Amino acid sequence: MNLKFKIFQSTIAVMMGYASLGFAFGLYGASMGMPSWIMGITSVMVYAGSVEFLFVAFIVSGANLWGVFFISFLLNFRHFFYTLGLLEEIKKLKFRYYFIYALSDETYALIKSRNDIDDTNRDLIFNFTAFLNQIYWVFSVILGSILGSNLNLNYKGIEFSLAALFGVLSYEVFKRDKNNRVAMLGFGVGILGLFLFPLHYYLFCSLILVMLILIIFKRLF
Amino acid sequence: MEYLPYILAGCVATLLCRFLPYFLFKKRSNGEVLKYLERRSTLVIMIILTIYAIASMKFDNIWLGACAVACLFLAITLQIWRKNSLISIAVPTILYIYIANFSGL
Repeated sequence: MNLKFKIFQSTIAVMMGYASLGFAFGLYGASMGMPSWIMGITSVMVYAGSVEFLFVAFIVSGANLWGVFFISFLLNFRHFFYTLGLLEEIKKLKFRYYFIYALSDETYALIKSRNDIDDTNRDLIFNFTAFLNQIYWVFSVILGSILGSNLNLNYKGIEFSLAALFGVLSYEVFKRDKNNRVAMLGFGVGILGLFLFPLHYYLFCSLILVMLILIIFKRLF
Repeated sequence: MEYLPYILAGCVATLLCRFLPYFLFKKRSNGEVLKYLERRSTLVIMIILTIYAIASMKFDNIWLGACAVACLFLAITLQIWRKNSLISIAVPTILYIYIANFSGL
C-alpha cells in the first residue's frame, strides 16, 4: 500500500503535464471534428503524445497511409532506446508486454531515476508507474474532447511541470553516476540539435546522433 | 470508420519502435556494446528530453523563455537543497504559471 502511494506520488508531476497536454489534444481533436471515442481509442492504441497531434492533422487532411506509418515510426523511434536502456530490467519482469507497450518518455524517466528497485517490487513499480501515467493521458484526452469547448480553463504554463520533472530526474540520474563527459555530451548535442534539426524531428535526430557518438567514441565515455 | 486504418498504422508503427529492441536483443542482450549503451545512454537521453521539454513549450516572447529556463534551474537547485522532488517540481511550476499568466510577459 505504502509503495503504491509512493509510486503515485512520483507520478504527480506527470499527471499535471499529461492533464494539460492531453486536454489540449482532446480540444484540438474536437475542433478538427474528430469524435471523442476515436480520440480515446487513438490515445490507447498509439499512446505517444507528440505523434498524436500530427496524427489528427494527417487523418483530417487525408494523408497517405504509408506516410502516416512512416512518420509515426520516425517520431516514435526514440522509444527504441527506452526499451533498449531498460532491457535487462524488462527481462526480469513477470508482466513485461504491457510495460514495453506503455513505455513513454516520462515513464522511462521516472523508472530510470529510482534507486529502490529490487526483485520483490520490480513488477509493481514498473507496471503501476506505466499504468498510472497512461490513465492520466487517456482520461485527459477524452475529457478534453468532450468538455473542451464548454470549459474555459486557463492552464497556460502548466506544461512546464514536465520540463521540471525531466530536469529534476536528470539531476537524480547524474547524482548516482557523476559522469561529467556524458553530461557534457548530452548538453552539447541537446543544444546543438535545437539549431540543426526541426523541432518535430529533434528527438529522433538528436538521440540517433548521441548514440552514434557513444558507439564511435566508446573509449571516451 | 474511415479513421481505423490510420489508427492501426500509427499503432503498429509505435509498437514496432517499442518492441523491436526486446525481440532483437532478448537472447543476446549481454553483449558488451549493449551493456555499455544501457549504462551510458540514460543521462544523455534525460538531458535531451529536458531540453526538448523546454524547447517545445509555446513562448509568446523571448523573456518568457528565459523565465522558463530560470525556473528549470530553480527546480534543480531545490532538488539539490531539499531532496524532495514534489517540492522541486511544484514550486517552479507554480511560479512559472504565475509569470506566464500575470506578469504581462
